[in-house]
Amino acid sequence: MQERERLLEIEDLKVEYITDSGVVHAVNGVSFGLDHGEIIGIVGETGAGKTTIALSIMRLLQTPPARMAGGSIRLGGTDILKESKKNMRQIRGKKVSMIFQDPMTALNPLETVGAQVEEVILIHEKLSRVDARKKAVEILEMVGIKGERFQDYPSQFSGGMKQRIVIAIALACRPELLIADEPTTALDVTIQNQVLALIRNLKNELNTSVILITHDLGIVAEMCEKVAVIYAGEIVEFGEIAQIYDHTLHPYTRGLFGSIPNINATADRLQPIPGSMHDPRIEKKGCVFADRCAIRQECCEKEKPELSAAGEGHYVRCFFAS
Amino acid sequence: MLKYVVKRILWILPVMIGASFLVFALLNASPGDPARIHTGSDATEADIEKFRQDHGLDKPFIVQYCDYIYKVFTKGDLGNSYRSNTPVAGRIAQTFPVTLKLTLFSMVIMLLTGIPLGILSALRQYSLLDGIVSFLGMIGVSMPNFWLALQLILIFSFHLGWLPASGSQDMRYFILPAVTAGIAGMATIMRTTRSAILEVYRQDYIKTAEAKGQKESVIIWRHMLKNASLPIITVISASFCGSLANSTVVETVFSMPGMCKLLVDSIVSLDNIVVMGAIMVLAVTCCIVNLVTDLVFAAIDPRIKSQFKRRQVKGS
Repeated sequence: MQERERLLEIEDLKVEYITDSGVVHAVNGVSFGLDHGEIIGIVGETGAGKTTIALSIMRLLQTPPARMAGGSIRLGGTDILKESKKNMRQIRGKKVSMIFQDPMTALNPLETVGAQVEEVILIHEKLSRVDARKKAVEILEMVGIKGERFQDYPSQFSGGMKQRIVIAIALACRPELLIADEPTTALDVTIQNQVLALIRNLKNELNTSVILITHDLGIVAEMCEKVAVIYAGEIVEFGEIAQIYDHTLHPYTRGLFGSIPNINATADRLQPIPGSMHDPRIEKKGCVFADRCAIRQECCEKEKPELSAAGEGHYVRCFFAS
Repeated sequence: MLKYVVKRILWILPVMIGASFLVFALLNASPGDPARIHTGSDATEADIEKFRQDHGLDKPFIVQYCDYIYKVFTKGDLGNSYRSNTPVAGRIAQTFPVTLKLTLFSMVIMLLTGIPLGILSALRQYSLLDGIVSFLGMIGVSMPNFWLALQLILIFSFHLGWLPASGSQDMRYFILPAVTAGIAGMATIMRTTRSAILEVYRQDYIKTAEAKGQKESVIIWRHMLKNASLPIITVISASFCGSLANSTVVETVFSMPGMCKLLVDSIVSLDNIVVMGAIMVLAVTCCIVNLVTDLVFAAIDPRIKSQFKRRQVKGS
């Protein structure tokens, strides 16, 4: 593999939500990096803090209730968390774009889809209306929406087509980084594949880096080069696809694989991970996964394991994972 | 689209027939004999009988009703007042502009205050401003308008002497009545605007717009307000009809020679034919307002517009 330049560097990111019933520690010291043209998967169950990380990179978290409690996010040379609101507006849509989970609600129902693609072009590029429109049509055609449907409204499109339009908006200004927050969760399986293939092709064509947030390990295996497994706001395992899938180390990651049905095995039941994620309002002293872990020992309750190297580029947060 | 409009206009007919029948029946069933009252205390039985014949009151109820409807639709004749024996249509033509002016004026006050305050308090949710505005809104909704009218007269006419307390000679006379009618409606519009904006604020497409790098002001005007406008417009059209009805109280307190004052006076004096005419005009006005509201909806929301088109295809 050729050497690639670093695009994104997240270091020790901490995000909290201030609520009436206490401080929710949503993200607790997450660090990872991303190269140009690389595609990374962030996997974890609901409430693990995946979307919070994504919205932090976009600086789209509502503050309050959210609070950036520490860490830094560097994109190219700039620290995103220290940028002014005005500069952030120039970064959003131009350098970093985001695709949201539900395409049904991600488009303004009262505007034509063409106008919505055109909008992002007009914000970031000094083009005349006519040229912006031409470009918007080009981009719509690139994602497989016919140009003559420019004047149609979102309600006239199916879910999969809407997600294509959302992708068109996200990629209109050729961003360096695309964050896709569960882009296929709301779609059925055949459309899922189309949308994923589209993201992959566009990524190759435009050399965009992608952060793919999902809870679907199958999608990650198909799409990503690296994976970060997140549990309770912490990365518990990080590595290249082959490492995570073939040399699974963390008991949580193993649990995730265990809860996928295997077509070759004759099992009556799936193997779920027992218990549920601990209350994120309580800061845990020991390992975040200890309560549900099958191989826990006394030290797991008292001391927090560090994210330590278990191989070339393979990191795991567990005392006994080897 | 044109077909839809024509269809909607035709729909006004059955509504009017239903409304007129209801009012006609209620007036007929209400106690008191108009003939006896309007001929005076020293009238003979023959005088009373003649009055009944002149105004068609001797016929059975259903015949009276059909006669009335027939005359209205063929000649535009709303009958003659029992009291003054002048045409009802003429009386209404004289007084309706006052009521309409009052209602429109109070609508302007409602919209110019209610919508901006609603937007502000939604964007600064839970701030001090939001609290104050919500509190004032509560007061505005719960204050009876006849009482408010009297307080305004007391302060601005009696103590300060700035504005006249009764009449309708020029625009100055309309200020206090319009403010009275406007305050209750303002509170409703403000609260609807606030909740509509808050509802839209949480929508994903607002996040999409933010993710595009769009400016906050553009997001508010282009993406939020347009989407929030449907419930607001619904409330505006309801407020318009409510304001018309409110005029009965406001015109009475401020002694304005409007149609709603005429309506109230006619109810008191059992001048049923005038009551009938005035209510018909109010009903038609409300039907028109509702029609316009629906057309505005279609202009704003492509989903509603496409429904019309689909129906047209099926119908033709």
